[in-house]
Amino acid sequence: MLAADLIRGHTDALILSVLMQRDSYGYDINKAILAGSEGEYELKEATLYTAFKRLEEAGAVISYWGDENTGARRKYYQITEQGRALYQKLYEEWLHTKRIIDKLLYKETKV
Amino acid sequence: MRERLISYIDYLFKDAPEDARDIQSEIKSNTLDKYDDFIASGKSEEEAFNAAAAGIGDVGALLNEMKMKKADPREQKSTVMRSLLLALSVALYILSPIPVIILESVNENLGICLMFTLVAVATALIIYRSTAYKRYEMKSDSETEHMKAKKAGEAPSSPLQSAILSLLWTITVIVYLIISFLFSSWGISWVIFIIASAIHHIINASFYLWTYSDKSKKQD
Repeated sequence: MLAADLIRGHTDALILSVLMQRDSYGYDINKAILAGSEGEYELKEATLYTAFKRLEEAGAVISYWGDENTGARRKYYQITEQGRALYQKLYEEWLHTKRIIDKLLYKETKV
Repeated sequence: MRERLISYIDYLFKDAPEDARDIQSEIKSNTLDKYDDFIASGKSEEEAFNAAAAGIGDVGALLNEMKMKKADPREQKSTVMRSLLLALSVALYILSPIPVIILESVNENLGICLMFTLVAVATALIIYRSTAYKRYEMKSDSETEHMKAKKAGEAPSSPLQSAILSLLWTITVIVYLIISFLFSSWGISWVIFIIASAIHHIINASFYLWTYSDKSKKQD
């Protein structure tokens, strides 16, 4: 069973980690997350866009409309310097949290 | 099926504010891409529709968050405005006898005229305040939880509040009769009812503030 609630708290970090590689649009980011998690996790569209709005207001990403010739226009997102710093911070926070949880849960099972 | 997906997404956004159009078209193009991928991978149209629609998630929560961010400053402003109007009208009611007192030796009628003018202005302000507020309330057709909680606090719900209010009006009538008979001042003493009405609103407002701040404390 996948604890989607636990992952949802890291939505911003997941999106930023994709944008660290390249500029991208919503569906492409979601596909990258789905592939990266080997099919185990995928964001809901609404969650994705709530996060985009939040990141854009925080100055972590900027957006621009792509110029596809075919089909609907896509909005691309690009990470900013601030966004890179935020990603680094979130990543370190996760490592820290992971260490603590590991320690605590390991202790529990020893008793 | 592709058209059904488009109209489904339009339906989800039917109450959305103007600035959500960008998000709507982004979600639409992503969901259609996803649908096409599902079809390409061999899913049936029905399966592809269901899987793509399920991937959209809670649009209502997204829109509510947008609305709340926008509504908050406007609401705060209107609350301040309403309090100011009420305070101003109460002050006018209280000050209204002053022209009568000052102008008593000069021209009694002029003083009374000025007093009625002040009372009229104060009453007009209170009426304007309540209608302006109603207009605002009707505008916000879909309420967030935050607003619902506020609304619930506005109904005169607590028994203590009703008790105080009925006591207020009883005392008002008694004071009105006593003052009027003692000083035979029937011409002016009715003003006490307007003052009582103002006090009535103040009591309601303070109860509302009290219960609301109580509730938000509990939520924290």
